[in-house]
Amino acid sequence: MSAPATEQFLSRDIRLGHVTKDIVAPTERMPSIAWWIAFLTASGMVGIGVVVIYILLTRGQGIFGLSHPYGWAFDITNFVFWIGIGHAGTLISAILFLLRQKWRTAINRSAEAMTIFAVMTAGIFPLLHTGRQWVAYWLVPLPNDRLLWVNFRSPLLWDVFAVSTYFTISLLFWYTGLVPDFATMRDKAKNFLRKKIYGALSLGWTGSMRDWNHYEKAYLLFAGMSTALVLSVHTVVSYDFATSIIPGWHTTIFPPYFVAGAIFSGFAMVVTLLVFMRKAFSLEHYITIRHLELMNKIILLTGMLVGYAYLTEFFIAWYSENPFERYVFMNRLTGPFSWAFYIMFFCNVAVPQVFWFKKMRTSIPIMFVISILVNIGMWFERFNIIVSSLHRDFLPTNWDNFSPTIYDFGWTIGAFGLFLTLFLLFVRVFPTVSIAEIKHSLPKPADTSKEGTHA
Amino acid sequence: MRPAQKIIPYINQPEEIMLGVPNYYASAAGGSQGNGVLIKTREGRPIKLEGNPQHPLSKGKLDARGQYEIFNLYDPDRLTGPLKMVGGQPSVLSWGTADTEIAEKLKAARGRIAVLTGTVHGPARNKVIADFCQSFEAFHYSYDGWTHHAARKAQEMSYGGTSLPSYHFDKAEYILCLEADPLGTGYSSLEWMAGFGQNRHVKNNKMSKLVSADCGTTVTASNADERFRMKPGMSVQFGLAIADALQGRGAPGKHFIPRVSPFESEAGLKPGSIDRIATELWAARGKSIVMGGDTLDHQLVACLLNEMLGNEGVTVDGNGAPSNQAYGSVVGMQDLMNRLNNGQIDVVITFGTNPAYSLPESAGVAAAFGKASTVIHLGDRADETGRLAMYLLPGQHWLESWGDAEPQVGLYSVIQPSVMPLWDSRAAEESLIKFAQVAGVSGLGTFVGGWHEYVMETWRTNVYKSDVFAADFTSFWNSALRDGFVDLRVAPTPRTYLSPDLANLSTLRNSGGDLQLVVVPSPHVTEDGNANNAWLLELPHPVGRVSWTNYANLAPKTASKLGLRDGDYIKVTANGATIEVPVHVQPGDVEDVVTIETGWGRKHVGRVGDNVGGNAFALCAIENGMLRTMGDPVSIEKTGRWEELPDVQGHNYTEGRPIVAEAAFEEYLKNPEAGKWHEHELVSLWPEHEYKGNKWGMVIDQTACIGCNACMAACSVENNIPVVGVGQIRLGREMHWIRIDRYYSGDEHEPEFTYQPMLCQHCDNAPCETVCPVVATVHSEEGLNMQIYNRCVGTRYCSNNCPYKVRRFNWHEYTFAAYEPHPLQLVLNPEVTVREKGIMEKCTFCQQRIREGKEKAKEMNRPITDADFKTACQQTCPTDAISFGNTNNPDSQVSQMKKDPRAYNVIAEVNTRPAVTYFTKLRNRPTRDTDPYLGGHDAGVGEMQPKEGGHH
Repeated sequence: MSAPATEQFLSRDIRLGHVTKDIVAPTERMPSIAWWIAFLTASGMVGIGVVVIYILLTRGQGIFGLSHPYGWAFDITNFVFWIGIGHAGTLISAILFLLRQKWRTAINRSAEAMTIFAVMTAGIFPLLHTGRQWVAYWLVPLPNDRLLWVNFRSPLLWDVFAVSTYFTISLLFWYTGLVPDFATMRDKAKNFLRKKIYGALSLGWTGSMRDWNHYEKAYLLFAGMSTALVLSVHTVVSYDFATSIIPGWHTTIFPPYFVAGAIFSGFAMVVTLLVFMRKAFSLEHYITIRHLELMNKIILLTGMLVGYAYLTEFFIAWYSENPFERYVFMNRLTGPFSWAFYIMFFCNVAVPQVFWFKKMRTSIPIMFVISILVNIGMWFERFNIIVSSLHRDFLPTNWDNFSPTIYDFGWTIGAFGLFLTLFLLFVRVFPTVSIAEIKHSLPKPADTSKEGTHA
Repeated sequence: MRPAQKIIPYINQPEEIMLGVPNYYASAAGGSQGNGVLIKTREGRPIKLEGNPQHPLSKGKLDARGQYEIFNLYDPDRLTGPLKMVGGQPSVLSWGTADTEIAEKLKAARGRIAVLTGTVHGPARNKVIADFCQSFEAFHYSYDGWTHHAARKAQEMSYGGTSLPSYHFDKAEYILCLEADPLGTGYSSLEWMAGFGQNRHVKNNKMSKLVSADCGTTVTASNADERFRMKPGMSVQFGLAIADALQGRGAPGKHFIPRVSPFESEAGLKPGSIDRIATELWAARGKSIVMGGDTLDHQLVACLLNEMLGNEGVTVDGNGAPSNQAYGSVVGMQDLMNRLNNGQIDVVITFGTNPAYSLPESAGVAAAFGKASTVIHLGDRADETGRLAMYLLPGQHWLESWGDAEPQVGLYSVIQPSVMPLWDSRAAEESLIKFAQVAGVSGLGTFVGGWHEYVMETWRTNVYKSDVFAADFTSFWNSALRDGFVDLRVAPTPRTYLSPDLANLSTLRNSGGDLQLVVVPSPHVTEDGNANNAWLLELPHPVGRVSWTNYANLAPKTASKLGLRDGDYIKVTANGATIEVPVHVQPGDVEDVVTIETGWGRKHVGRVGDNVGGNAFALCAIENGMLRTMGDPVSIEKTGRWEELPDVQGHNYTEGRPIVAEAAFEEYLKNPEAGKWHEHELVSLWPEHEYKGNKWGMVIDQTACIGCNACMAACSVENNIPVVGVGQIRLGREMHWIRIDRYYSGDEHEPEFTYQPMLCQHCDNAPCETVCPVVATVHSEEGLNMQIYNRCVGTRYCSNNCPYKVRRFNWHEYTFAAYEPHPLQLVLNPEVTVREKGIMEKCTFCQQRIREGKEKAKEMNRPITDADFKTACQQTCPTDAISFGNTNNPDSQVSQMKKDPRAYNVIAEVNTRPAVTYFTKLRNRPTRDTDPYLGGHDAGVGEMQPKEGGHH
């Protein structure tokens, strides 16, 4: 059953012999002008981030708009945002793999790469949001003779474990999948250096039955582990808020709501990137409209899930009779940051409804715009949770309005720059689509005639 | 590495100094209030000022300004050596040269010399000036920004003699203030705060009552149990109406009282108010105080009322031990300037006063001083008056020099130097002696010795002689130094009332819609070096909660009528002068009144204080030898400039949240739990902490708290709290570990005020402790919530999760910046770690003091008691609103207090189980029908609507 189902996703023009050439081609030719422009822009953005970080390290957290009562704002907003982006990769790789959703094949490599880069980007924020970044490593339970240990009751510590585990597993999972492809590239390499590098990366892959046997087992194992992580990472991230006592944070709905939101934003980011990548590297045969449409369906689904979560929060705030909780949610609607709430609600709940229409789901420009809007909405979701809850908490004397500084924007731009830079480097040197898996997914020669009759 | 030069190890340690152990020296504050202080020194440098517990005025307390004097000592902008102005440029000269040159000039100018000082009391300080004046046939003038001359004159008209009365607030059950602000800016405000506070603790179902008739929200007005708002000057009529009503009740004496009725309708008061207040006052006769504001009319009415109520000679002391705390007068200043302008004065010597700042430009101080051939400034800095001088011979801070004080007649203190002079300076009195000696004049010139010998000599012939029980002089002197004061005061007797003519008191000034100006003193900033004290400027105003500037207070209706909001800069013009200040909308102020405080807008005081705010003295006019500060027409012009007010409070209402429990005293008498909320039974998932030994707790009586900020000052000095500057304050990054939350309740136009000191609550279920990933904040086995600075990495999660938001984060390198200018770092308390950039800090319940107390108890081999130590805030609180101790000890004060029916926790339902308990705020006024804080509370907290606009 699986084989015919798969065929629908890949273009029929793909011939087995062309797969390797098509996918490896971008890594073999000199980069285009467009790539250079994109790369220089992205690394320029990184430059902005580096300058901000330098100023941050020398002058302290005070360069940001942070204060009492909002000890966090852009820093943790960005952290949660990027962690969320990372979710699609794991979901596509692991859960869809376990569910035998073969359509993942064309997109899983880039989605996983995106995950890795997003988690790397995200990691910058908790590290640098600390007041004394030079001792931030104290968050790790390193054995030492100073009798210092960590507080296992703190959700921030759980974050350290969740994020580092997630990063490690995602990296290994991704790398495992890359090994056969690196071997392919090694075999195809014409110059010495290429051969050596890809040779080293392919870990002596021979393509033997034994290799494939180990590979399949490892891949399945990682898929199983990652599946748990898809659910756990953002659940743990949500605990940063859910286990606190701040109205607007202290809520049990956060774990599923965060996971749904993460998948939502992650898929949106995958769409944003793939729309470009498939065009730029002529991979339309591999990453088809059908793939994009399926992702849009998931965006629609998860969008409705987060919308449901938003409404539930309001309902519970009203139903709980808790005056602090009620105030925070009224304040979301009518307070000084209500604009952020409305942006969030519009982008995350209203906009994806467009995907009920097939025409919209399959229109490249529409889905591109929507995927961008969804990510804007998801950034504001985190901003809302963090800033609009904190800025008016229990004692009204503490209330204050947050206003970001250029540095807040600076390192946010830097984070996008880093992510894009890494992704641009990835598309230049790594196979962006899984060569091995595509080859597996292609119709067997025996089926070709049958297929003809079906059509 | 050891320096190459020869150094000497600390083997022979100086006498009295033991490393790590503070020495306390009793002294008196050198300012006009003359409060007894203890100077805490460590390794030879003063690090903190506290009230002298034995001193009758300070009773161990000290107000914010008094405590921050310590920073004035270390002010980096003081003059560091003698200077002479040559061709408009300062040039350095030696003391010897200065003395010779000046002696010559003085000899030549004999009979044409004036000495201009601020209020000076103390036998030696007065005598040295008198001797100097005698020797050179010089004139002595006193002038302060706020002279209290009206009070002195009213006393003269009412009783004869010019003594300024002292008031016994501790004996007063009823206090009526007619535009007076005894708790904020009175001439003996600390004494009065402390006395007032004694009767604010409900004992035997009794508490005192404070009534204020005013046009602006002063510290006193904000603390009034009942407040009558009226146009500037109308409180004179209010007082007369009460006098009229008292007459009807059989008050002794027959007084002519101008008819003022129908006053109530005129002033918009509820019918029957006057009658009720009169009845209450009459019931409290002999146990009440009526205080008038800074006009002659107010003071005359206050004298009349005190006389009618029989307070004279009981709570008002005009002949036993009257006050010496204000001597200046504008009349004297005018006389000096006339003489200067007529060319009758050649040499002016100034110190301790700053008329070039504190008189309006129209008074012509600068021009008059220009007429003198030589002006000699003996103050500690080149301030506005100092810049008119040719010689700037730096005087000393009172912590560096000898001196004495006699704030009330018969109450003497010696001011002891507790540190070597920091700069090449010399006490002003020393200079006077030196000038006389070098000039070789008779009298003072023949005195052998310096200022120290002079003080001792004066005391030997003066105070020692009056003390009939004293033994030999040396032991008398030593005990005076040790105790910090000699109390030879005598009890007052009622004086004879002279029935001054009250027919010409000011008529109602109901000027319709015109704006009227009211200029009042600042409770913090004075016209001396205080204005360059960053800590003092950063301390938010008690009522406005705005720091780093003064402002024009406008009532909400006035502001909206004029289209102004907080932070709009306006040009205020009155009496031909214009200043620029920001607007602050002050609910509770009277409509069409613009109130501005003085002390700000300095041109030359130092790097910190120059050009901060506007100088409100400039707007006043001089009338009948007094500064006219109330009721002048004023015009306002928008500048179009807006800057966020450096306001430390985000929102001013509790929004119905269970934060401030408040009730009328009457209601409390029926139900001691009045004003509190129904509290749910709270359960915890965590196992309870077990406290086997001590468990620290605090109780704050909101009825006693008057919001004076003394606790904030004490905390800052004790705990090395940095200042952060106006920019950071605008961002909400103040570092105070204890702050005063000021809430309004009731109608926006007539709100009542509650002051709620807010500090780390040391919760048993501390939300900060569970979330810190690196265990930098932990619970001690004595219930303290501890912050380990070295361990903190600065995630700020603890602060986010703190429902009280009392944690403070070092957003930048604050401490180094604040204490870096030499010699400010000398003030740091070595017992408390300074905190670096990037870490969280907060109230420790003065952990270092707890330790000290525990060590004391351990040495004596007994459990710790309340007497062993006090936290800094508790120690200094003028009204004793803060109690601290061991709640595991059933005999401790806090254990007893926590059982009081008024005790409650702020936002208890969050279940943080704070160690800080608050007492319901009681107001001694009748229950109101519309009182939202009574009756309906059991249903839970009120509906909350998000409120826009109230936020800054």
